[in-house]
Amino acid sequence: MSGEAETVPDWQLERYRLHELPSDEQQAVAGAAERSEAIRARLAALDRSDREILALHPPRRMAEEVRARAGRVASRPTPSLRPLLVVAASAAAVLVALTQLVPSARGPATTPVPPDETRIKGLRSGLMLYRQVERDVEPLADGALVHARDVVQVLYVAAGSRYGVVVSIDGRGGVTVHLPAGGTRAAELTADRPTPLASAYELDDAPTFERFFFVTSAAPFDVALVTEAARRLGSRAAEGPVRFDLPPDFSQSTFLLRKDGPR
Amino acid sequence: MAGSGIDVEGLYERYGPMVLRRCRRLLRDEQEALDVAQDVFVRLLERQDRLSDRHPSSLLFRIATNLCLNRIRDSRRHLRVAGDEILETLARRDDLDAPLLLDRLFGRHPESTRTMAVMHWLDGMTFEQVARDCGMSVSGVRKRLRALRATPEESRTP
Repeated sequence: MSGEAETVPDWQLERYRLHELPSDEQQAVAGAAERSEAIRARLAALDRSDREILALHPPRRMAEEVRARAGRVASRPTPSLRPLLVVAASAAAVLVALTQLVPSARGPATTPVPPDETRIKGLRSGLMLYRQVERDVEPLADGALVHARDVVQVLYVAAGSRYGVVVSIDGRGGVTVHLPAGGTRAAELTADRPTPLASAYELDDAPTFERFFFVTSAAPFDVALVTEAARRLGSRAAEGPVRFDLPPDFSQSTFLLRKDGPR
Repeated sequence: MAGSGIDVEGLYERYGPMVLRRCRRLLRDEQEALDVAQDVFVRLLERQDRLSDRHPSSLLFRIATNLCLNRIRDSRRHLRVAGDEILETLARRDDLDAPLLLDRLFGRHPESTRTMAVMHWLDGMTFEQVARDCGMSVSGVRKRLRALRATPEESRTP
């Protein structure tokens, strides 16, 4: 029966004790525990470990420490992302208002830094994406899995770059320009904080992926320079690392969303 | 203050031992494990919306794994601590290039992929179980882990 004991991994045994496994797995582990003395011994050892840990680190004291840490995080002088508010909804898109959205910056704590410099210092230009979840939004990681009809909001961090274009390429090779909202020249960027694009974006049913690109430069440039490079890249944008074929004085960053059909 | 509506004491009493054991296993250092375990609950306060999950244990397990891997990466000790176990586990598999994979665990791949890799290869979760815990599709998990194993040449192939 020792073989069976090894087939129940630690994580599963932990969740079994908490009754937080799916019912079929819960029943399977219960059955294994009935048959295996070794599993019962592991469960008893976990019971003992629980008691030891809770005696050594009492819940009240731990809760106080956790709350104190959370308070320190919340009141850090270096600003961080604040909660986002969904302020308007329509059939097509939701505008996400970003309140006091200021990037985190890590400078020496003892060195006074002018506020504007603090905001820029340590930042790299790039994109941040959020997805609407009911009345809230959640940050997305590069490579996050999304679905058709998800509503996402794109923000850019200029980090000192003056002009920029945001485009995306989808799984069909389709290119969409998100910034500027119109015109043929790159948008003039807001330098001092992450800046949301003018509207949220509802993902369509194009398969596989949607990759966003943020191209910046110190000098004005034509949007067509980027869209042509995007079309040349097409669906090869699925797998990173990828870059547009552009002169070296352009900065580029990308943000990939992997797609998995509608919810 | 963030998370003021959460019963931290109750959550810790129920899940704290599991979280601390997880951190101990990955970090193999009692003080660091305790430190990260507390951070797991701080993270939970910051992201209390996630508590709507039916199974907080899977969320806490994932957060703990992720924070431990961050700690290992930041302290650059991964070859001495958790890396030992990860490498040992991976090395037993003929189909993986363990040193290359370990390097990638702490390299350019997203944190979530790293966490998935540890859950699958170290903890023995199936693709389905990893997908369930991470809120992804099975094919998505498979694809991420395949990318982790791919050579640089393969990963550039369209």
